[in-house]
Amino acid sequence: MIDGFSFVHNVVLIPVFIGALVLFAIYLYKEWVNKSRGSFALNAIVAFVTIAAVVLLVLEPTKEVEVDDQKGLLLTDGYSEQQKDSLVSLNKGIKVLNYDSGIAIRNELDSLTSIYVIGQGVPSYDFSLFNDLAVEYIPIENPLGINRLSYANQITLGEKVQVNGSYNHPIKGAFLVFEDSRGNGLDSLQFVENGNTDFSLSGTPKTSGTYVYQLIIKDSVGVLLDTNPLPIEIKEKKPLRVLILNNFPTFETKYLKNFLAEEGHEVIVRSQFTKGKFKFEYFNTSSLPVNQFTDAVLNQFDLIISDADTYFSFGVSIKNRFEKNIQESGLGVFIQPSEFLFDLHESSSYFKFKRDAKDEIQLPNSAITLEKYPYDFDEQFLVQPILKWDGPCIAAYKQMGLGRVATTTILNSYQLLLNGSDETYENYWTQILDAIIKKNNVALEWKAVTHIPLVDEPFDIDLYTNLKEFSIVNEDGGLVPTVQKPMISNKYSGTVYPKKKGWNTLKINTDSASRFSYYVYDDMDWKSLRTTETIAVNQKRFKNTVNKNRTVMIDRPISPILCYILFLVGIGWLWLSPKLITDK
Amino acid sequence: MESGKQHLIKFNQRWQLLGYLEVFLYALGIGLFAYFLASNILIGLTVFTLVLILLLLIKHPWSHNLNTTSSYIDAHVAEASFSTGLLLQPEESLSNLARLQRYKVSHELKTRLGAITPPNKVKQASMVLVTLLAVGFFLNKLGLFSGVDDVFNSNVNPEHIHFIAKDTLSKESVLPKITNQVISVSYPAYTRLGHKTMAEPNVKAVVNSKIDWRLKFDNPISGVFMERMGKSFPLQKVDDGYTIRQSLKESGFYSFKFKNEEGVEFTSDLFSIEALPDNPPEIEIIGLEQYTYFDFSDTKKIQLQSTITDDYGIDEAYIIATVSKGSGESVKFREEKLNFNQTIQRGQTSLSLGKNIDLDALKMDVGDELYFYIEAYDEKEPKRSVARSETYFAVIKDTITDQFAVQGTLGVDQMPDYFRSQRQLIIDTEKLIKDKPTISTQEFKFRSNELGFDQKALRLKYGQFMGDESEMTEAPSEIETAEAGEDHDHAEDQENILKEYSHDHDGDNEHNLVPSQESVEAEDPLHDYLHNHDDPEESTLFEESLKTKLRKALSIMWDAELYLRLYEPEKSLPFQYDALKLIQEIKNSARIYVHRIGFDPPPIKEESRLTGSIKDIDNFRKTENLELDQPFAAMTKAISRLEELIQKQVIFNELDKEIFAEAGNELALLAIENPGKYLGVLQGLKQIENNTGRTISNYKTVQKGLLSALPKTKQIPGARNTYTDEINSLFLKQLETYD
Repeated sequence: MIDGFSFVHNVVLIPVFIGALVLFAIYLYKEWVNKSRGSFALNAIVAFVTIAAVVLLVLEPTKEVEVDDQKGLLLTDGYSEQQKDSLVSLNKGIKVLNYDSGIAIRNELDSLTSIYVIGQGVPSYDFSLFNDLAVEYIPIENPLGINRLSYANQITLGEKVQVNGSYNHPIKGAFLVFEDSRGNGLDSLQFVENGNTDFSLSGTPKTSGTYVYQLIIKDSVGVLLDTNPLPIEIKEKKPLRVLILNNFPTFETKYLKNFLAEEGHEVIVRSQFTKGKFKFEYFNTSSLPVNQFTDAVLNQFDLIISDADTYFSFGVSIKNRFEKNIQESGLGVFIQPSEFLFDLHESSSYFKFKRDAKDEIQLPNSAITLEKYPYDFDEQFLVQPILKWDGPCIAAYKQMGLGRVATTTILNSYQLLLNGSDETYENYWTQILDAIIKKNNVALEWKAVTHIPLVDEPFDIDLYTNLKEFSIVNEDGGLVPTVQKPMISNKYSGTVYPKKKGWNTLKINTDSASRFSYYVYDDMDWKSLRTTETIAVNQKRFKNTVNKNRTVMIDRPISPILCYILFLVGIGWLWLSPKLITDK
Repeated sequence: MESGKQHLIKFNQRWQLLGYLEVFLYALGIGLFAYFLASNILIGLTVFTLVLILLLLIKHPWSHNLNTTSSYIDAHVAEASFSTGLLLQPEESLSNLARLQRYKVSHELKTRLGAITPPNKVKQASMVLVTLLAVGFFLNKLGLFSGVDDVFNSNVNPEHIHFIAKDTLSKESVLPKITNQVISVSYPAYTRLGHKTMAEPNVKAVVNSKIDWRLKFDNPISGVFMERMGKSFPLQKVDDGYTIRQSLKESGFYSFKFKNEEGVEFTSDLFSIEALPDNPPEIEIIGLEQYTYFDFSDTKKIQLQSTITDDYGIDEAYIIATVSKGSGESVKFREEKLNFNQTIQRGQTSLSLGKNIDLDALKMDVGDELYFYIEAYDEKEPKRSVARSETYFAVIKDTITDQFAVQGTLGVDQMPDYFRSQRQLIIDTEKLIKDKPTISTQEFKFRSNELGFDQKALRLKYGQFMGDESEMTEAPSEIETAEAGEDHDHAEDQENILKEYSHDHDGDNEHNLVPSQESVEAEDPLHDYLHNHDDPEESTLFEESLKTKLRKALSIMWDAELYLRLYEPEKSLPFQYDALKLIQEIKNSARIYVHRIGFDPPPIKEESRLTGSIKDIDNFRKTENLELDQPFAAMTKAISRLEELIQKQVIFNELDKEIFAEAGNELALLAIENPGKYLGVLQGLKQIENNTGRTISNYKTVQKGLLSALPKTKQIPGARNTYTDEINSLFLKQLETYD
């Protein structure tokens, strides 16, 4: 069209034109036949003008006009009528819109120069609607209830589920109960104050699988007030392949090896009993000589436990091979300490120690004291504590490439077993070893970006993989489109719209093992948390919005009065002119 | 003439009868109504009887006597002219006019009384009966009160063991039912509880009870088994049913299974058997301090009062008293069993017993201690359980004991007894011989005599080990003479002669380390030795060959001493050497004895010793496969399978059946301790297994129960899956360069 001009009924433009042309052609033909009567040219012009006027009347031409003060008011869930009324009375001619995720408001928004948003705000997936609009967001107060929550929804069996969060204005005396999927209580607390209370609950799942744990709020007499699901996927740990190298047999190794072997791990123990002669013990594995520490041999193991004397007496080439395996394939090495280790220089022993002259340490939450070497870990870049309470750190690891090397200052941990505290012993070693064990590599990793997915709302996921050809399939077998990030070639993102509540799965069509389970919540779940989060993201999103009102172009219909006049005059002339001629 | 009265009596009877009928009708109505509501004939009958009695008491229809009848008739029959009362009076007492009137009334009544009926509400009662019947019937049909029905009828049905077909497809086959089920418990004889018969299949009984199940079925069946804690026991067929006898050792669960004629297998629900333990007796000692102290002058008596209780009967109870005498190494114990004052009747569940313990009767002296406790046995079979009370102490204070203390002011302790050894004697003798030319005769003789005394002392020392009577008799007399010179023996004569030489320095104290006076005392301890060796037990310190050797050595020492006393040390020397040799042998033989029981080292290959060659030593290899101990694997599996059944509503398959059966076994093991707690879950599992409870709600309850029954997760290290991101790897590598 010509700049600035358009029609309201653009759709029927061509049929109307054709119709007008046909009409004009018929008129010309009719006039041509009666040409003798003269004034053909004049009539043709008048007819053209008349038909053109009719065409314009039908098409309703518009003209773009610049507007710079068209305000809107968007009402979202939880807005207050009072606020709405005062805004309406302050801004004359304000356009009031109701936000409902089911109804599109894009066209209405396009005509506005600025907008107020009141209530809890719009969900983040609709932010794109407001891209170049001046938005002023007036938030409501945070709702009562849980307004912050964090917990690991993917854990391994044996780990604790720690649910942290805060509760906005709980009822005094009410209980917050953490329950497993079938209502067995795991942990609970009673609110004693009214303000914003932080809480922390924990429980250890007993079986693997996908379960929906619950966070329940009961009042002081036990009446259920609210329940919110906590979907958790619990995976099982994989058995390890462990190599233990000892200069001479020790009790520490004996008990450690028993502990590992009894839990089904493959354990190979090599302890020297005289020069060049070794005792090999193979648990749950076939016997395989471990004399040479070649890459192939080292690569078989997830974990190598060695006493300091053995490890630090290796020749340079063997030690380099160890270090290469640690750095490149993520091997975990645990060094059993001895005085020898503490006497070594930092450069060769990986760790830096400082003398603390304490010979024993009391374990937290127990009366158990353990003997230790009178040293403490000195602060070092790349050295992270594994076991550290208020006192000194008793175990730490050093990150070396992908792998980790750890050691402890505890002297005889098997004393715990002899004292009957088996559980403490198991905890102690599980924590240390879990920190350094070589990780099993998997081809891909899923990450949920949206953390409370709902039915028919977008659920964003990220996928990290080195696979080149793959596609994500949802439960119904439909493909999920993914976008590869330009800078990070192994990161893909996609969006799904879940259709049903509860557990849903996504998988890779080429790899059936790589399932991703996600839980789709009910509309009623985590209401206060979702509201709080929406308010926060809205505040963040609209804080630095363009304050200057934009100018929008609006197509204003041109008044059709001129066309009416033209049409009347034209049709009148055409009616009159033959009569004038015959009267002659 | 009497007929008038007869009519009155008849009327009266009719009246009473109608009264009873009315009450009966009301009661019947209410009774039937109650029966319809409760659907229980017993309830109906009870209500009927109660209402009947109640109404009778209220209405008392028997109260209508002739007087009330006549006044009623007077009021309602005009012809009676208020004169029926006349009929009741004897004719003779009436006036003529009255007799006339009486006759007239009697005549009238004959015709009139048939027409009137006594006042009654029979119609009303019948109406009420019909209404209640209709309403009750209607309500019964509606089933509004079926709950009531359940409540009242439930005491019969649930006790019966129900069976469910294992094979779900053949539901149309006949389900045999139990017509009669008797469970009888024979308690062990000692409990005196006898037998108990019950219908309730969840059994609770004392350990070691015998339990009999007797089941009768309405249809012929075969292969009846009792399944108890994973084991199957066949039931014996008796004339009209099946029976099994089981001895109750521990708590657990059981169920029955059998086949019907068509070979379809049926199984019952799970029931618990709880073994109640027979506790050992409980002993309580009343009003006695744990420690009682007596002074010597006190009356040393203890009043012991105790109560002993047992759940089924006490068999025996007594006091064990131990007296300890002396202290340190010489402490001696004497144990006595004391009976209570009262005689104990066996089988009593509670006893109150007393005992006066007289310390003097126990022959206790000052410083002695008495420990006592009560021991009680119950009658448990096969082994009695025993209980012991705490130990109580009674001590007679010893106020005169003195304690050894070394005080700072007494710097010098008395010199200990010591002897010169034979070797020293030889050395000294040789020295004496060497010195002989340079010293005076007096000096020589003195020293020789002194050596002779030392030789004697040594001989005596060895003599004491002999414990030989002949030797011993000589020894004390010698010593005593040496000290006091009282006895005169052939050996002592020598001493007496030598007395002037040996006056001061004879004895152990040859170096005059202590004042001479004390040399007398220094020999004192030998008395002790001699005393001790009176004890024949201690005399046999050595075996026979040693004894002869020692005796020989002693006699040689005699000779050695003799020559020393004769101032001929040269002659004495060979004897001394011989004695030394013998003593050495004795000592060595003792050593060999110790040697014999000691470590016997393997022979050493001298040629390879200390060469450091390890070429024949091999590496040692040991391979072991440890079975991973997972006592709750099936329970864990069952939980995750249940989650799938609940969440995804997948179809139950045959494989699941095995999982749930196995999980049931595992849970049963856990539940032995506390059968009641997990019975519901176990029954739920069984229902899932045999397809009577495959509902979401049952899945949920069972899963909940399993979850709570599972013990805490063990901490085990293990590998985790992670995705290694290139960027992260690069970052970690970069980190290291800054280290």
